[in-house]
Amino acid sequence: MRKTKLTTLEEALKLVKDGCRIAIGGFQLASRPMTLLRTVMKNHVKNLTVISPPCGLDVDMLIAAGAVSKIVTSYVGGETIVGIGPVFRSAVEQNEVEVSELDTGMLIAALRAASEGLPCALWRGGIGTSITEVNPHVKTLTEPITGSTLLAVPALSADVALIHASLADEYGNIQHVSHLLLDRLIASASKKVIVEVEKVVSNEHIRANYWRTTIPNYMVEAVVHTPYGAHPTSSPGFYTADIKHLSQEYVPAANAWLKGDRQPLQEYLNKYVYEPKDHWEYLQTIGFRKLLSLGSVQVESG
Amino acid sequence: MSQDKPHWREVLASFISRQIHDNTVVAVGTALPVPRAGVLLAHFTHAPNTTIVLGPYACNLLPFKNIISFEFFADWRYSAYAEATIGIDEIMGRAGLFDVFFVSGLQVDKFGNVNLFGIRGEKGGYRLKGPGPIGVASLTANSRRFIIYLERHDRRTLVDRCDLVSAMGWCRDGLHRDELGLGGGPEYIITPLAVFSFDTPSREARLRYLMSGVSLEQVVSQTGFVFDYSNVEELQQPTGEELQVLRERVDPEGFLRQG
Repeated sequence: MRKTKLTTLEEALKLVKDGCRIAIGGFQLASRPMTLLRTVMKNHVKNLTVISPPCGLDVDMLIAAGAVSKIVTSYVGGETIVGIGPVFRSAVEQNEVEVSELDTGMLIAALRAASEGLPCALWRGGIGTSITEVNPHVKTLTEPITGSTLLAVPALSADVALIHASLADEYGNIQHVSHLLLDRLIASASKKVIVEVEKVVSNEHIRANYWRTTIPNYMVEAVVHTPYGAHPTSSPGFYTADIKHLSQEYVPAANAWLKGDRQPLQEYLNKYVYEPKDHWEYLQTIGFRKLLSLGSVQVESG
Repeated sequence: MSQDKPHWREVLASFISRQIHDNTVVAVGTALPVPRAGVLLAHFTHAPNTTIVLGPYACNLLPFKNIISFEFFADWRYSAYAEATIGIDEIMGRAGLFDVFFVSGLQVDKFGNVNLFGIRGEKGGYRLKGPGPIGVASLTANSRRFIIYLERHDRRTLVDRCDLVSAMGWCRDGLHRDELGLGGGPEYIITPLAVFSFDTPSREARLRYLMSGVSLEQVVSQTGFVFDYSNVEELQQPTGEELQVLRERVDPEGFLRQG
């Protein structure tokens, strides 16, 4: 009898404990595993090391919730909504979290090195910059083949990867619509992988489209069904980021935090993270009118 | 509409357009609307065979009458223009893939070094934390050239020496770019007032073009490094055709003309 990997948020997130190294999928405001992260915050997990390529405001929220002690990333922010995550900025300027800054290329090379069992990655872009000063874990070396100067970036592995994807079957075969961003690489560099998905489909559906499987089931520990789970970030092929929510509700509260008033963001977290008793209640709090309006755009061709 | 006097952003978009070559691959950062407009203007005029990389998608936009303005890197609506997806993990180290890459900064110095890390405080931490490294170190090292684009021109931004360096310019602390095995390099610094180039023996920035109506004195007083201004021309105005393409196809919502 084949084992089902479809489970509940509570069950899946028993894997994320205090002090874990978690890797987060998605890219900036796209495809962040928000429902998994809201559950992590709700569980009051502490001292996480967060590894992620350019982060959106999800990591800003995680810091505000007190879940993070270390971040390895190339960016935390909301692009044009807010150039840098206000809570992240405040935490860095006040030395409340440790940040290991890496250029996205270095971070990718470091994840790949971990997935290949290598101690470090070699990288050229960043030679001559302040990266070795800003991040002392990155070293300069002369490689022995041609004698050129390169950077050595320590391999980056995680205990658990948290990923948002489009489709899965109950056995944990994962498919992404439109773009998988860096999710497969992030999964490859992690010991265990939890995936939240928009839709659960039949195994026959996966088999009929097997070339679209982006993360095969042997890499996946648990699958959770969370429609609109990436809200307020986007889910490729399903909905766009909820810019109004981020810019009118999250960012003002986070900016107040940066100025020393932590109350508004505490209220935001109460309303959207701690009080909803499950994912469905979160969606109810956001409201179906709002959710269904996060659509795509018609493009005029001529 | 096309009779209106061009906005300075439209002048810069047209300058950028003239730097784009046909049959190349160009990545357009979405948080930089003017470079994006310049690249699309080139695509719709003299560079129809250019592959435009929008977020993680390889696009050709010729079949489309006008282009929706997106602000976010990984907005999947770009896929409407896509012919392929681009593996982010495949391009960061691909030397020479991109012909040109655009970058902005908190600080830029006379050798084209760019700082996005932040401004140092007295105790070695950050007094002002910047956006971080993003992908700038890799992409400026691997593109055939890069262009520095700033939406402001002041002594806080254009400095003699950057506190920290995210993208290596032509020279830093006496060490030259080619001594480090880096290709490419910064080609221009573009600001609302002027354009600097690096075509000097020392690779120090020199003033190359002035925006119409801007005086040399203004640029000197608002720039934090000393520069050569012995051969300066006025920045060329967009042609009627360029303005029409900009306003009807590239920027129908008029974002470039605001402010």
